[in-house]
Amino acid sequence: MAASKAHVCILFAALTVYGTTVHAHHSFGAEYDAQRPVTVTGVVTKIEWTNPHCHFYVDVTDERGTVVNWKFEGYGIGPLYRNGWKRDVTIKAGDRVTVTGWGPAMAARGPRDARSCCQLARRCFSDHPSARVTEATRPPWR
Amino acid sequence: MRAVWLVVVAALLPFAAASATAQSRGAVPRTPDKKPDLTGVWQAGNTLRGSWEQANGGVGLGGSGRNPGGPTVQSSTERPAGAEAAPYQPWAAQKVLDAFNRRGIDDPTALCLPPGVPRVVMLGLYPQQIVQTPTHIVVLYEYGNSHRLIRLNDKHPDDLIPSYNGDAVGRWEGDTLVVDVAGFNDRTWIAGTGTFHTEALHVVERYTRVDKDQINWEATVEDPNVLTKPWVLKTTMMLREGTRIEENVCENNVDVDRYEHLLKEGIDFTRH
Repeated sequence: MAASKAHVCILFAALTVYGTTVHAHHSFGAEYDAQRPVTVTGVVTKIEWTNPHCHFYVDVTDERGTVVNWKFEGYGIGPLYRNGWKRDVTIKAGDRVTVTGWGPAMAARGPRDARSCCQLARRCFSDHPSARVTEATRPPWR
Repeated sequence: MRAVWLVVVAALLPFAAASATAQSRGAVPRTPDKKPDLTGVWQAGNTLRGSWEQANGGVGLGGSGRNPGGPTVQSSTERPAGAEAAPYQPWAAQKVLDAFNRRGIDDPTALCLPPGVPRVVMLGLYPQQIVQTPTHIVVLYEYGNSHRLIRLNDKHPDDLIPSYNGDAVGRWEGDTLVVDVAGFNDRTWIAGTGTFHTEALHVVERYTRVDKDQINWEATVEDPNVLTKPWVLKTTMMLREGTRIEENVCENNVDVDRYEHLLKEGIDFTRH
């Protein structure tokens, strides 16, 4: 399964449109830039199942063969679970995944941090057209 | 005489239709003492019926899940779309705007502090479970492992102490549960980014279960120190059968330290 290719599309967004219906985390606007969508493919090295945000790390090899370990942030455990993420099933170390997310709002923080999305094998959307992914690829193990 | 009957029938038709609709959507469960039973796991900020997965289209990100083309609120720092403008006094409105322009980095929840009332009620990403007894309504919020204990037919104590969720007492007005909340600290936001308040905050919530699947919730928020008039917030809470409240320990929100570090480095968080 380690060589499986999943398309992980993680979108950090509230569930509904009413302005006061927000989640309470930290500020997406302060942390990430909706104008900087990023998509990378690599191998998952570690997953942190934590609240209020999960983190997972992906080794990405560029054209020169250099490996960069990206850190992605997504929803916490409860939202992930309700949305179909199962520990050691949905995503685990060694899986090859494609992740779509957003880069850091502050360039000084470096390019390796990114907020990712937590939708797997389902539709994933953003209100930002350039970040829109119309259909994620269903991973073979689900 | 026949014309009179026609008028009567015509007048009753809407009620008959409403009754039929309510029945088709499932009757409101009731307790042995005939009160609406609010017991169940609910999702605020959503109008869709069904399980969590059905109503959220899988992940419920972007629009409303089943309507992924709808607008998305990226976070609490995004400007509300279609929300009633908060009636802040001019000086206070400027302070709210300043918080928005600073990208919400002062959000109390970024310190792992409780969202408080009424904000916690409206969090759509996390379920809340209501447990109803004849003397108390208990609400368990997944976010931050928060809870509220609403005493029915009781009064606030004379010596209220400041708290995040306030002291809540409830009563039934017909089929509506009315909850009076007072005794707040000033460390939470009312709803969206920067919506601060003082310890004078007073919230009156109304919970009306209109059918099996839906509670209409409304809160009237008062704080004469910062608002010019009561601010009315509304949302719907939808029954999510089969959903469990999960543990949610806020363990890794360390953003404020990071923000302060970045500010010292000269990073400008201001929206331009």
